[in-house]
Amino acid sequence: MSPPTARHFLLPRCTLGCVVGLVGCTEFVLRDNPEPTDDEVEVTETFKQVDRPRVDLLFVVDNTASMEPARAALADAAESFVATLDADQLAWQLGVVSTDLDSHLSGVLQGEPWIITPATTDGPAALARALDVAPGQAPTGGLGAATRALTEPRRSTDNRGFRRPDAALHIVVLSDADDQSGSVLGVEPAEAFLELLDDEATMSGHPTALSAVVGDPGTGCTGLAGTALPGDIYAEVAEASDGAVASICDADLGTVVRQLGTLVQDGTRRFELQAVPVPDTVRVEVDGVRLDGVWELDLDPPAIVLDTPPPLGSALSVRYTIARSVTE
Amino acid sequence: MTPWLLLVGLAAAAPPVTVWSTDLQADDGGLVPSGDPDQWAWGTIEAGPEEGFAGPNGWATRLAQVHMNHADDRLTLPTRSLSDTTQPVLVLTHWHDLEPGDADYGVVEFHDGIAWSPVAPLDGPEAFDGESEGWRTDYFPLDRVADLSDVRLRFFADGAVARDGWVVGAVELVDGDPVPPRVSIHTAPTDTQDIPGPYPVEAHATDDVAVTDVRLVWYAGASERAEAPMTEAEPGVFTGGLPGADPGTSIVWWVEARDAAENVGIATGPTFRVYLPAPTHLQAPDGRIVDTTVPLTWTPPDTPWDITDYIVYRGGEPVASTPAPPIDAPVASAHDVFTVSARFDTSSGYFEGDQSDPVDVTAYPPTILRVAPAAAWPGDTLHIEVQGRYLLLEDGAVSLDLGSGLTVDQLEVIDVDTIEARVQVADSASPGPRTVAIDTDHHTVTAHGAFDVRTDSTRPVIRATNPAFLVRGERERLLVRTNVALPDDPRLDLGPGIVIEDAVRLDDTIARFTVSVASDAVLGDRTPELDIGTRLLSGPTVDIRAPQPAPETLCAATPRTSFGWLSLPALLALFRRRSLGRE
Repeated sequence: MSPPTARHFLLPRCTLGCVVGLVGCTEFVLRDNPEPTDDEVEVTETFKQVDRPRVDLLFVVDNTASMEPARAALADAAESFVATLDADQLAWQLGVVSTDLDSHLSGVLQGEPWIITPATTDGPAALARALDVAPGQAPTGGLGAATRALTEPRRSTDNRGFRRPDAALHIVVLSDADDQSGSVLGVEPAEAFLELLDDEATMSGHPTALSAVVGDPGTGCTGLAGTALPGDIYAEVAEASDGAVASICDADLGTVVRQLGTLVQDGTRRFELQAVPVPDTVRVEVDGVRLDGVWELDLDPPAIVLDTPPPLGSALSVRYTIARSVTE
Repeated sequence: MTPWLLLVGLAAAAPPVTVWSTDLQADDGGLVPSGDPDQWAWGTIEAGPEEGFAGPNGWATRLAQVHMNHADDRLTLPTRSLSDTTQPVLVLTHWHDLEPGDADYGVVEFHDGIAWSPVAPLDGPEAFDGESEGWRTDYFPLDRVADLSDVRLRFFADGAVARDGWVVGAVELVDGDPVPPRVSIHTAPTDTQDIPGPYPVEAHATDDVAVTDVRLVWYAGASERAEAPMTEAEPGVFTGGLPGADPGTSIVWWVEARDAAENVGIATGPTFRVYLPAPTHLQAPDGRIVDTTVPLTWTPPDTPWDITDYIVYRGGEPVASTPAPPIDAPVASAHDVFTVSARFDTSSGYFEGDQSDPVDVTAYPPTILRVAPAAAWPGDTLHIEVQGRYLLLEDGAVSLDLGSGLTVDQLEVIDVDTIEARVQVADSASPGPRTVAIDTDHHTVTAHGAFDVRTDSTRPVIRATNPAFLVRGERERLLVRTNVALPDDPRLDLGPGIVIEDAVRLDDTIARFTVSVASDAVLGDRTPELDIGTRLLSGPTVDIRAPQPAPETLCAATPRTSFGWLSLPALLALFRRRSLGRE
């Protein structure tokens, strides 16, 4: 409750104002006045980077007998892997091909369903089924198999719908031998495959990468199922495409793949504003850190466009003064 | 005697009567072995047929081994006078596996008081050699024998080749004619497309005395036993016919011949089938089929009848028909089995023929599994999500249809199985269930009744906003109350010039928004649109007002009204009264 003195003080002033107002005008007159005020209105809009970035994940799994324990380990980790994808708010699609180049199913996504999504009934079980690829024989060619999976005729027939035009692409190769895709990609398979990744990135406008879970480059290694040969070609592609290289001899393959699964993701860079700002009043922050020189202001429609997407889960705030222009 | 009198005479013949028998399962029956090397034995039969005729036991040249060579062994029947019989016949049921020819053989002999002589059976060879191919029964007339002990079985073997030997399963003595007619079939029907029939049969029947009756007996499908007499076309040759049957009927049949003693000889004919043929070479495309239908082709059957159409079966249930191949047959699951049959116009009517060999189809029928939200009211704007299985949705190649009055004005493919769409429901949209249809370049998928247009009072709306007005150039906290649960991040839109800075969900149905109004925002009523993720809610308008001007400037630009001038004295009087009151 306000102190009495204040009340006493306010009453005459209010009464006078009211009297003057009532004497001089009507309510109708007040509402009919369209003239803007002189006040500057400063607002802060806050955005959450949760726009479910789209990523297409292609597992290329060596289906020779020596890789059976590794495939089983992956299948065991399917549930936690899918949970990780869901937790990261990704709009993901996942497919599995074998490294087999001689089979008539080379490059064909495996399993039922062969494209697994967040909507797939019992996604982990579907992934485990897909990883249970039919046994094959060396030589294996993960780059060639992935190329077949992503190019015609497979792309628009057996694998139709897997590769989305607006999604990032992450290929994860698991093999205990190096790539032998000469019959598909020629004498420089790494170079040819990097061109394919570049083309995919250009077409989609989103990043593409290959990660390699292979025998240690240069030396090879000994792990789950014995000796793994060095995966030099795979590692070369992984490094050149900003993917990761991990050891197929790692005792906890499930964790390795789970960590790799969300490596390539790409949130939105454009955040539309509700009003047109006065340009020099705009301040942009991500998680409380002011950003300068890494964003642009679009005016029609008004939007902040960042050079790179803020991290998933981050908060972006835009403070600005609303420009004086009635938009209607 | 005329043939007629002969038949009467034969018909009067009495059936044979068993005057002596023995149970070889219980004991050796009193038969006496002898000879060299004296190998006849009674007991459990382990070699040869590996069991007796009526049980495990019987007489055999050896029970568990091949017979011995260099043999002349006898098995003599027990004593039983035949003086009380008029037509004594020995009935021997036996099995043999001997070297073919005259090196090893068996024979039945009788003793006439002077010497042993072979007895020829009433029907068949005098000596047994080679393989009997199962148990056989032979009949030996004993007219010249005084006592059963004057009868014996004799087995000869030379020094080479030993096989399973000779086995006696049963032996009995009858008085009368025990020999059934011998019947053989010479003309028999085979599988046929002849629906009307009849199907001719010719059989030969003979008897040691005379055949009195020959008839066809059959079962047609599941029908009752039927029979019909056969006609003697020439001596010993009988003809008849089985009647026509519906397609798909299997006919089991045989010929029965009787003699005067009511002995019955039977010859079984080959079962045949009346049928209309199945289409052949039923085929589906190889590989993965993602569609609600699968194209099937086949070769029409070879038939004299006209084919009216074909019926396609999936898992045994009819699912489609066509006058000619090919056809797009509906699939139901990932692994379906299809067959096809033809329907024929025959002289006996329309009949469906046999089903083809099955073809396995690996098909993945696209299916809509979920539509959310699944209901709307006329005038609504919705964000709906449609999810399915094997939809194979591709950006730019999908359309969504929910029927008349519902317009999809934005559509986004999220992944192969999910689309999101903004749907406008016209005020005139008729209520009731709707079919949701997704059309792609490859298939159309429908879900009947998956969406509903309602008219009831549960329509989600904004119930109230507080305050009911906002002021230019000011920031205000606006409370919005709804009649439905709010998401964590409700979004409010009040139109241009009004910025919603943040939103806080206070409870299930109330949210608070921090709202800033531009200083030049258009004045007047705004209809709020509250986006709760699945739909836009509207409700009472929010008034945008100009700020209340300061008293000294309020009237500067406004004309005074006559009401204002007239009211001035009254207001001054009011002010005076209030001042006095305070004092």
